[in-house]
Amino acid sequence: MFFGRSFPRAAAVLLTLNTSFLPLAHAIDLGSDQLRLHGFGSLAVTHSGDGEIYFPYYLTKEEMDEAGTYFDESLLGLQLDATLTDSLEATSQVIVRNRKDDSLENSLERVSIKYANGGFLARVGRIGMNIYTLSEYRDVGFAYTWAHPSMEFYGQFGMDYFDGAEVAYSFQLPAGTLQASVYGGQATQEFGGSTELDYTDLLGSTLIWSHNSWVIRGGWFRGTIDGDLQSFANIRAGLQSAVEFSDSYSVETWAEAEALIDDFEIDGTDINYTSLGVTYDAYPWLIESELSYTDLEAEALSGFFSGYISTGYSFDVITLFAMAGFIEPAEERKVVSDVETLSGPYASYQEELEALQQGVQSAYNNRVDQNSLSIGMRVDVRQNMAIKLQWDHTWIDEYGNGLWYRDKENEDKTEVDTLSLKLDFVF
Amino acid sequence: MNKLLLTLVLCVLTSYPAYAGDIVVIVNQSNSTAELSQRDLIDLYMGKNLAFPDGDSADTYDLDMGSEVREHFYRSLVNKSVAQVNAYWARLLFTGRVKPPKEVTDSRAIIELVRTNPSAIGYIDSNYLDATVKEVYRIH
Repeated sequence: MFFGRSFPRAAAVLLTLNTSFLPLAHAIDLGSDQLRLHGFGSLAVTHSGDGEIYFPYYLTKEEMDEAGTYFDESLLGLQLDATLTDSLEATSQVIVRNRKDDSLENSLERVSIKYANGGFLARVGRIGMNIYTLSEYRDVGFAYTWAHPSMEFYGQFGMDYFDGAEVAYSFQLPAGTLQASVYGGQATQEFGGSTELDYTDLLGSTLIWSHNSWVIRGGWFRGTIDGDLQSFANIRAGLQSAVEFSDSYSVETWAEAEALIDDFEIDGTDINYTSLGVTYDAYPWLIESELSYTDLEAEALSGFFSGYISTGYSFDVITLFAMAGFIEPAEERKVVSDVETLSGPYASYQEELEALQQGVQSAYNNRVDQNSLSIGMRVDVRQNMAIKLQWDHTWIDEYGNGLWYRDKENEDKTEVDTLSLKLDFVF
Repeated sequence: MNKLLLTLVLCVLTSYPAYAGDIVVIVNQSNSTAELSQRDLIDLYMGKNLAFPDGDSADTYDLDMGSEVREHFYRSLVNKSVAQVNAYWARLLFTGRVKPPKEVTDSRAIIELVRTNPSAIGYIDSNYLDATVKEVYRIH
């Protein structure tokens, strides 16, 4: 059966939990106007994948090794706000979920001091990345319509927050409000739960114009990669060995090898990200769309375009939605040349050389190129609780499964289904 | 499973009773604001501009979740259910940028807060309105 036997059982457990949660309705009263504790959470069951492709990795902080039914979109967040003076406030937010590293440093996803006066706002600390519409509330499922946002648009970054500072100012215009913000600091990006990259010299800005039912936002940020990927370090070492082998024995091994080394040097290279988003929110319609372009200086990491458009229509407490998303590389896939055929005393190096060539090609083949169509339903069962059902059908192009856990390099076009049932709440 | 689905459907069908009376928006008697427009109220209650027209900052108050008055207030103001307004506020609250209106148990409690706090603004069932506070907007 397409969705497997475990999904209905897990869904039944989740719906039962909804009944148990019914009394939950209010923020937790700490008995003080200066301290407020709010929370949010999700109970989710997701089935995704087939025999070789398992799970879109942005839905989990843990590594996957087989297709099936997972609870990895489930989480619980707590936010404590403390008013220090009329203008000064401290905020801390802890999110508990299934993740590779459960340390407090990783779970503490927000901790900042905010100064607000009139339209001016300044924040210092660990702050949500303000780079796209859901930047700062991607984990607060109750805040948006879908069970999960567009895989293509939101799956490309595992960067939820940065450590640094932000300054923002809001202007009242004759028509609407304009908010401009500038931020800077450093961040860590997670790739599928197993690999991390640090970014330094992070600098970004956002402009948000809102008027009546419309919100238009533009965002940009740049950062410099500080660190290395082990797989890239291994490739560079292999290429360097091939070059040294040629030099030492005056024999041709792989003419292209030396030129490829720099492609896999990512430490110190830049990333530039630009996005544009539009939201039209006028009951019963909710239409949202975002587009982005990511430019990566490292040659082995192709830049890409991504985007989505979503339409929702509400019938009182029920909202039906449909969404289409895409992500595609900005550059052609690189195909490397064949290695030389070695003979005589050098033949023993042949196998290693060919493995290196395949490893390099495999790295160039690791791209993201896919489209998804999603349909679903949100039901507000309580004023602070919603149940959502979402089905995604994804068409993955050849060499385009970079957003997924998988058994092997995917040379062929593939189609994958993902079904999610979620209970989102805030308190 | 059928029982669970039935529970879900009942939740949906019985969630929001209608409110038939007037709602008045009130401020402290010392507040210089004579009246507010719908646009001003949307700015205040949707966190877009937390200040009165004269520039003084405002402390906004909400009735409890589950209140029929609250449901009617937001339906009239922004044509959204309380759940949809809560979803909107969740976006702002958990970004740490803006605080939502403080919740108060009933109309009497809001009158008491508005009477004693010059920056306060709240909405109440019109049947509770008295001369100790100033009406600045009415929803029929």
